[in-house]
Amino acid sequence: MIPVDPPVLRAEGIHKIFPHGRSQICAVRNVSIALAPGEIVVLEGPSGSGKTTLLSILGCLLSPTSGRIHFNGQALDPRDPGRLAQVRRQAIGFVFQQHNLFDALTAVENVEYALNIRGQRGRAARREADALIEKVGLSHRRNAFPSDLSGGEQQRVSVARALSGDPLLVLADEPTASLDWQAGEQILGLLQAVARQGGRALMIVTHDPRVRLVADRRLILCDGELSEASEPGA
Amino acid sequence: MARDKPRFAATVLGVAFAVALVLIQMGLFRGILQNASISVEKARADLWVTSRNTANVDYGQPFPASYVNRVRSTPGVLRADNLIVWIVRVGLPSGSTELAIAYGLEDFLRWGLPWSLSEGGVEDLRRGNNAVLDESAQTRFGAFNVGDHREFQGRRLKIVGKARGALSFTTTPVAFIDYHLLQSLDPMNLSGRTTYILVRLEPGADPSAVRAEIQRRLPHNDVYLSHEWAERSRAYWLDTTGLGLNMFVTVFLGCLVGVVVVAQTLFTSTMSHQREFAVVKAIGGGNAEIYGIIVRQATLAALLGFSLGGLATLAARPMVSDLGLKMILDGQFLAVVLAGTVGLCLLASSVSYRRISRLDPAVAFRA
Ligand SMILES: Nc1ncnc2c1ncn2[C@@H]1O[C@H](COP(=O)(O)OP(=O)(O)OP(=O)(O)O)[C@@H](O)[C@H]1O
Ligand SMILES: [Mg+2]
Repeated sequence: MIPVDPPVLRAEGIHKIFPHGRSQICAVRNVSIALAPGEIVVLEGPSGSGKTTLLSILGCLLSPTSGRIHFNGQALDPRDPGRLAQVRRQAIGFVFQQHNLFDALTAVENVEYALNIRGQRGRAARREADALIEKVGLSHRRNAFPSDLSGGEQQRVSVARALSGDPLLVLADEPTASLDWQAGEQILGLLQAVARQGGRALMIVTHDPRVRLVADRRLILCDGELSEASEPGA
Repeated sequence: MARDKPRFAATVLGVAFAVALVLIQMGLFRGILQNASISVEKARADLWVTSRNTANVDYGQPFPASYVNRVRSTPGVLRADNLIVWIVRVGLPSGSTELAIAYGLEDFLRWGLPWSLSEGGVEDLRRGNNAVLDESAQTRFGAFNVGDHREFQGRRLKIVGKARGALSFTTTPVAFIDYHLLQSLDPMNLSGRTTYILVRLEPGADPSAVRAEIQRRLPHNDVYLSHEWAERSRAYWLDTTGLGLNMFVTVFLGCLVGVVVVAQTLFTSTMSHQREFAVVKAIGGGNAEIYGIIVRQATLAALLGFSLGGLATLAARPMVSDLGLKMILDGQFLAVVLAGTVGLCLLASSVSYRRISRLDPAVAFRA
């Protein structure tokens, strides 16, 4: 399936070099990639191959050593942290391997706080947070603190949080790795809906074979070099 | 993110400790210092005429009693009377001798001295060899009752009243004795002499103008507004005892301990929530958000710590007054300490803030 819409994100010739003692580690080598709206891309590769690093660069969390990024048709200066933060605030949602929720806030408050950061305040934010919590099927647990939720429930809250502010791009790093089989299944279903119904680009880093079944494309990173697997479901 | 209860409790306790230390020390200090000038503040005089360069109210220096007439005839003066403040020897039943600071006036009621009596009255002071002694004399002179006799400068005086709160900086007991009787107790020094002139102004008179005119008429004396004279009496003890420096060091150490404890606990607590701060940044939160979180924590710690420290201080108050000490804690003073507490907690939180503002948001993805 070849995406026809203009890409949400286009990255060209991305390199990332980390200093390592006196030598250097090249974590990402000359990667070019485009993500279209509604598309689900799965990124696989052995441990240490640079998956998290690439995801961080695509998510505007990390500046590449060289290369260009266009977000929604606009060129980004990767050396302008203020601009990168603005793009993240307006258009990118994250799901982490650990849920990374705010311990002191309830489920719904976690989502509301993210909305606050993204510029929505007051009653509108509260209503939107409720709607998102409902979307992930947690209305009955809305006032629970993260420590009182199961792993699957925590991850669902973090999906709701990633959807706050209606982002164009959602990036997930090993979203099912800390979950049992059934909870993982639910999260995948949820993420699939996020991309398909919301018209968002979704990139998932994972070792979980089930993710391939929902993916449009399967990319493999090896030693920082990206290649496309022939058939996604294989 | 203040769900880190044990650490937050440590922060609050640190603040409370520092606040209690500062409140108790400063309160005691202000209580002691107030004793140095309490009679000046309580006496209903607008101006005090002293002999040249008198250092404080306890150290009266004699000058001719007739000068009072020049003051009385000054325009704007409603009333002026001589006041003698003089150190006298008091023989105790045990045979030993102590000192007292005697205040001598012709009309005590007119000048509001002594300002509080627990027993007896000042009316009898004019009739015979009588004296009113402050309650606090008990500690130095032993228990005494109205009707007892004590030897003042070798003369048997009858104690006809007990004053309350008439204290001196050195805790030397204060006695009130008729003006002429006091002169006769030490005729060599006091015959025909006084140590102060108390002045009350006519309503609407300009204090500085009257003061300048009295100064012109009595060029070898000093003339002070009451509050200036009180200030001078306190400043003397501050400067000569090093009490000011001592106080400064205590308050400084209290603040330092508080700031270090708060900075330390807040920092560890912040570091243990690094990942959450990284998430705030990943979502696109700027330094304003992070500053907001840290400031809220620091302010909360300051307010709770202040309340706790304040309560501890109030609880310590009865104990302090059992020791015969006075702790002055008025609203303005508490407000200053509260503002200082919040300010220092914010200062302490700046360490955490600076660290987090440099935090890499990519940390959120790292295990
Ligand atoms: N901040 C950093 N500083 C230095 N080196 C880093 C940094 N981040 C990652 N690396 C290095 O870059 C390489 C790629 O790391 P990365 O975390 O992207 O791999 P990964 O594919 O996500 O691995 P895993 O499957 O174990 O999560 C590794 O060799 C890692 O040590
Ligand atoms: Mg990784």
